Amino acid sequence: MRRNINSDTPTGHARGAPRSAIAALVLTSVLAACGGAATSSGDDQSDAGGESDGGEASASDEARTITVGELAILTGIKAEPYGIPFHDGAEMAFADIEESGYLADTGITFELKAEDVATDVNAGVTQFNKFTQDGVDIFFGAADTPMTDAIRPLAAQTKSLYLTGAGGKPEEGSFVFSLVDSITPMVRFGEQLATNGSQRVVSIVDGDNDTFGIFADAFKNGLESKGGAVVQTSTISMNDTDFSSVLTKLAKERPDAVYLSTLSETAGNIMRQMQTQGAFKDVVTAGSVAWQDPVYGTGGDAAVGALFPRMWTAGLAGAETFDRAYESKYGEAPATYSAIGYHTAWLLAVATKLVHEDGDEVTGETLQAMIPEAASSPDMREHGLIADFTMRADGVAEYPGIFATFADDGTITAIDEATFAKLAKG
Amino acid sequence: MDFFLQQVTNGVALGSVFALYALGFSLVLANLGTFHVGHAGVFTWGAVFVWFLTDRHGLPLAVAFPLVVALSGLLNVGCYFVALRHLERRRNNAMAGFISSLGVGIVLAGLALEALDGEAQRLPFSAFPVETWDLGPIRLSSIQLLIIGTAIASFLLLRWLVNRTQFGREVQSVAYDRETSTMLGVNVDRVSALVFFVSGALGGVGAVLVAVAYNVIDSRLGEVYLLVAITAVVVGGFGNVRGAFLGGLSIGVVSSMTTGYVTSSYRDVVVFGVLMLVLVIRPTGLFTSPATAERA
Repeated sequence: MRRNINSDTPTGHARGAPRSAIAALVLTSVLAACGGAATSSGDDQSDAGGESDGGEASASDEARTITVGELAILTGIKAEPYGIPFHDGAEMAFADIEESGYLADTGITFELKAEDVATDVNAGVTQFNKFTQDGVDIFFGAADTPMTDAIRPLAAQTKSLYLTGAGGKPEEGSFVFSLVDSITPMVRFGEQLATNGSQRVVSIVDGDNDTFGIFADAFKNGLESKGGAVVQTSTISMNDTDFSSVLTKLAKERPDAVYLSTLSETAGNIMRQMQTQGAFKDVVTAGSVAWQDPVYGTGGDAAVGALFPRMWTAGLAGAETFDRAYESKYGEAPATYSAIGYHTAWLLAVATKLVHEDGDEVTGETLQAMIPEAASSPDMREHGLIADFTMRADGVAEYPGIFATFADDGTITAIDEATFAKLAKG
Repeated sequence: MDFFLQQVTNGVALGSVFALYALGFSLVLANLGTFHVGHAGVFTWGAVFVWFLTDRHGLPLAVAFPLVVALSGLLNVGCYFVALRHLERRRNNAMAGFISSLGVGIVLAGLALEALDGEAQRLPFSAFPVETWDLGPIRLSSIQLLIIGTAIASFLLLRWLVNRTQFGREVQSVAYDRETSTMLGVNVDRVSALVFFVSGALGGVGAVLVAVAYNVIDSRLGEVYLLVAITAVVVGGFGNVRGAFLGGLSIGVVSSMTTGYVTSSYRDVVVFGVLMLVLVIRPTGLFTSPATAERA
């Protein structure tokens, strides 16, 4: 059942065929070399499961290894916040799955084969084809939306399952499933803020990145649903450093809260300047799901007490074992994408078990049909990390997320609704 | 009215940074006739130096500041000797110098990225005490006061240097006619090296102020201000110390007013629209005069 996306290439024109074949061979070699040039965290391709380990596996086989091809982001600007934590989380989950014997009945073990494609879409597509040619039809991808958009038609064409930490795009019958839901937590955050007294909100939005506009819209929807309003919005550029004019203008509105939909460093800088300007003393500072540690790193004590939603954070009740194990293995606290990577691998394992129980062959196609059911299953609630996680049939995950703040030492700390209310009311 | 005055204050503070950048840039432009865009790299390194000295070595800002000014000046002198001096006798030396300077800027930015561990850094929060005063309708912070005061002092010092000293006369002479100056006994290389030192030092001053005020030091810091500084030079008039200074201030105020009264989204559109308008009405710049006695 080898799937080669070039298999439907017309083969007429016999006279030209040898030349075409040579050209195709040369092209394939060049493309393969390009893909191979990327840093790999996995073994050599020759040691991979190959086609017999991937798509050829059948339910009746015993002790089979299924290769999961990971289009990993291990270098570049997205590596540290997204790519590496995602990979580490997935790697840890596969170790846990193996150790727990969860798939022992199926005889299946997974081998995660990561190839670093950074955020280079061409490298990603080349590597996807290379994996596919080796019979792999189950893929992981970290947080890169352009990459996911490029893989989407290829996944459908080859009936390959693609589980990703990038943002979701609804598509009926999709073979791409996004495990990231940043919208629901943003809407919920807006609702919560309005409920706790922040009715007049001003916002600063990074206009260079559409994502921040999407977050701001989701936040606004939530806020307005509970009677609040964004009374003034200022759009800034990610390269801006001086915000005194913007802040003077926003302070004039006498807001209850300032919502910052910007990069973490920019948000910290704005908070610092808000503190310096002194016009926002009793005003709540609110942020987006994109906020990370650099908010505190740049903003310092100005960031303490700021409120923001997150998809997940370390230190949550019930995740202590994961936190400890992750820190022990990788020497740092798990990031949000560590949890998403971990959850992704477990989702694959649970879906695999369900497919096996149905007596079907474990393939990208059979797993694709099972992912939504697996996502809400009791097994996922037991083994997964993201609370109240569901997966829609159109490939988009939904979960409420959590609320967080920066503690005095800068640690990102999850807070309950009572603490939220206390901080929101000053 | 309060809002207007506050935005003017904000604009003057921001414009002071533009002005310091433009002053240094303008000096070299007058001296060599070259767009020394590598100045952006020197500016970035000014911020790297102050971060290195205060955060990594724990020096007080008051001690680090003059060191940064000297180091930035020396770095710019290095740029002159490495990238520009040997191109002076080429027929198309302005373009060659521009490209060479661009290369230096790219190299310096790359090295800065390494020096900053690939991340945006900041000064220690305690590096400069932050106070805020209400002066009638205006709220002024100690950082704004530092920026405006330092920019004015730098401008006055530079004017005195250019107009009242032997060095200044030599600078003006070289700017007017390099070959004739050489025949008259002016050591052109020494003058150019000193011009680059002063230019780099001004960049260092601006970089320290930006690092203190805006709290982010990254390898692209100089690039962020480059285009605005060039605009300030064009608006003020090429090679004109007073023009570059007032051009920088003007752009800061226009930028601030656009944010305050229109929208921050159109800030750059308005700033560069003003630039085009100035070029149409007064192609030589707003602050040039027939006898540009202070032409550097």
